[in-house]
Order: sequence, then structure tokens, then C-alpha cells
Amino acid sequence: MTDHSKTRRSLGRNGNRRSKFTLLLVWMIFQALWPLMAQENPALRGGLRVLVTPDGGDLDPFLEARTEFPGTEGLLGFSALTAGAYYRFHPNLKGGLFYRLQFGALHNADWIKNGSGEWVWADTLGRPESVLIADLSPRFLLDFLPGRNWVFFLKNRYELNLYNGDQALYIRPGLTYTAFRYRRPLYGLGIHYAAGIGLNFGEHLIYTHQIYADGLYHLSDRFKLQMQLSWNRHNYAGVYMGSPFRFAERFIKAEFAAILIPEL
Amino acid sequence: MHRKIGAMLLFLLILLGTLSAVQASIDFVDGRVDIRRGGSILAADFGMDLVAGDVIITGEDGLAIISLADRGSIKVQPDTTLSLNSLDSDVEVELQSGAVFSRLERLNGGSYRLRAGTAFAGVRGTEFYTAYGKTIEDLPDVWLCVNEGVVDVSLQNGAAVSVAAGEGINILSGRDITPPQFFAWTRDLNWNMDPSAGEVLDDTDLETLYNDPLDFDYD
Repeated sequence: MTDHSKTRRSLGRNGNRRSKFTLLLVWMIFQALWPLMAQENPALRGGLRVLVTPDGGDLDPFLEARTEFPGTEGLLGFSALTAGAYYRFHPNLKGGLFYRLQFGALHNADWIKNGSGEWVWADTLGRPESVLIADLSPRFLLDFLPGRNWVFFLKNRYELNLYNGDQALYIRPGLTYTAFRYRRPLYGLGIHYAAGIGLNFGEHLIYTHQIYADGLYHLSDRFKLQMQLSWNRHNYAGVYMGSPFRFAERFIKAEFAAILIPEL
Repeated sequence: MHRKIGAMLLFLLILLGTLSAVQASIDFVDGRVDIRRGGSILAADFGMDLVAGDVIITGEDGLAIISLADRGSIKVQPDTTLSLNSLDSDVEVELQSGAVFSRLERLNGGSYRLRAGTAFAGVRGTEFYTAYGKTIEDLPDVWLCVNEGVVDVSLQNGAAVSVAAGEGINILSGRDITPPQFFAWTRDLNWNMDPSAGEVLDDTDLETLYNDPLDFDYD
């Protein structure tokens, strides 16, 4: 006896509703982001990220390699290796401690004049920087919203750069929706805003703004693919050999990530 | 003539034996296990006979193995409520909460039916696991995995499926049946019902089968 017909019909109706809802969500995200992205004629950058985060229950180790390709501005790129772990203190609260080794980061002090007197970025590609990171992120399920599987995140991250002593705080509220099929996650869509606050440097209260949308495809419990499209604004200010400067750098970045979750 | 009568009597005796009630009893008990019989609660004990209508209630640390005479056994996991609706030739049990392992060997023409919420699982000789999962929508999910034989599952809304050995299904909120498939976690199920052969408790935590959207954090 095998009669899936009723089951299929019922699940099919759910699938149609989910597809329409997802299309509406993508359209809304696009509508929200496009004006911001288009108005300032930003540069374009690309990024790749590989994350290995074994499933350790409440304690999830975290090992990430990421690189940023030279953009249309001709920058040399940025790369980083991050190691640490997240701990789930409570279903609604995760915290993490990480160490990051990065190359190619650009700070206010790296905006210099070359021999011809032109303002350029210093070549920091070969300069290692160590960064200590503490992360505390509450999250809440907004299951009263249509589709039920909505999560509001508030990612709070403190970073201490041991190379120059810069301390920064990143605050990132975000909303994600995960579509499930047979109780398994199928894909997720999210929209986030991140503000970077320089605690002991810079002239701006918020020195970076980032608005981004991401899509996460759950190929399996152990392997996921993520695409992130972000609009970014970095504010720089300082003085180089008596010449003050103050400017904003704007770029759109597309980043692809492969996420592996081996079983411990 | 006498031989014919003798053969008929023998046939009738076998038939009567087949149709008679199944002798159910407690084969093994560990931790707190109660039997609700009528309006009273009895503490379960080894060898205790069970009758139709009895409800087996295991505590957090309780486990019981029920013998259905030569027909098979049912292992009742901790935190489970199982009622023995019928112990006639056709055995019917109802899983009200928790999890059970069913092993049916010789049904002698009878049948074994397990009810869990809106779902009915019918077998004619097999080994399978049934357990309530999380309540995501209105009703709890029901997981069913087959170790041997085939289990026919039907729902009150008419949906039906046959689950073969090595396959499992999840009945979503009592309404939809997922396609039968192999679930890796079923490799770790403890099918053992013989305490002398080793541990009988199964420590599967079905909560871990559910992905929590609050846990999806990859940056």
C-alpha cells in the first residue's frame, strides 16, 4: 500500500505558499537596498569565505578563512584567518571569543601621499595584524510573523587590534527567515545593518556602515552555501604629514561562502 | 471417521488458540513504572500480568519490556504512556506520549496495530520504533523507523505509506507523511530487548533532530 497522493497534495500547497512568500521577501529586500546601492555610484568588490564549524552542541568551534578580491578601485585585497568558538549560553544568547590574523587591512594611518604627492593607500598586504574579538549576540524567534521561522539577531562584537591598539564595536541588527521542508532547513534569507563604532580612533561616531542581504542554501546538515550582497560605507579621517584628510569610501561587495559543519 | 473428527477437533483447538486473548505480562522493569488499571495505579513488577485497558506509564528513569507471549515484545521507553487497547487476536496499542520499540515475531494470523495520535501503524511481523517528536504546529510529530519487515502507516485524513526495513518517516503534526527514507540517526537506536544481552535503554534524543533557526549563525 503506497499512496502519497494526499500527502503530496498537502505538501505541494505548502510549497507553493512558501515560494510566493519567498519571492515577495526577495522583492522587498531588493526594493529596500537598491536606492541605497545606486545613489552613490559605489565601487565593486568580491569576496570568498570558507568556514568550518564542527557541531559541538552548545560549543561550536569556528575556523574561517576569507579573502577579498581587488575591487574596481584597484585595491590589493584583504585576507584573514579567524579561529575561536561560539558558546550557546541560552537558546536566545550566543557568545564567542576569537583570534583573527589579517593582512591588507586599511586604517586611517595607511592613507598617505606617494612620491608624486598623490594620496594613495599604503601597501598593507604583507603586514600581519592580530585582532582579538568578543561576540555576544541575542536572538529571538518571531514566530508570530507569517512563515513563523523569522529570527531577529542583534550581533554585538568588540574588536581589539593588537597592531595599532584600535578598539571597535560593531552592532548589527538583522532579520532572517528560514524556509523548512520536512522539518529540514532548505534556505534562509536575511537583511542586516551593521554599524562600526571606533572606540578610540577616528573622528566619526560610526566609521563604517554596512547594509546587506544574504541567502543561505542548506545543501545538507553538514554543508551550506551562502551569498551575501552588501552596500558599504567607510569613513576615514586623519592627518598625514600635516595634511588633514577626511573622506568616505563606498563599495558594493558580493561574497560567497562555503560552510562545512562536520560532526564532532 | 474417528480420524476425521480428531483432525477437526485439533483444527478447532488450534483456531481457538489463535483467536484467544494474548497473554501479556511485564518481562522487565527498571526505574519507576506504573500500571493504570481502571481507577487504580499499580506499581509494575516482573511477571505481572497485563489486561486489555491497562495503561503503562514510565517515569523519567523508567523502562519496561512487555511480553506479548510468543507474539513479540514492546519496549516502553522512559517518559512514555502506552495503553493496551486490545489484547485479542488483533493486538492494538496506543502510544499517548514518549517512545516504544515494537518487535512482532509470530502473529499467528492476528495483527498488531499501533496508534499514535492520528496515525495507525499496522504490521504482520516486524520490528519498528515509534516516538513522538516536537510539537511545531498543532500536534506533535510522530517518528516511525523500521528495522525489519514492512509497516503500513495510515492517517485519519487518508494519507498512507508503506515503510520498509531501514526506512523511516516523520508524520508532521498528524497531517503529512514525509517520504520514507534512511535516517542516519537510526543507526544508533538500541533495538535490544534482552536485558541479559546488554543495555536495553535507548538514549535517542529526538529534540536533536530538529534544526533550530536560532542556531543558524555562520559569521
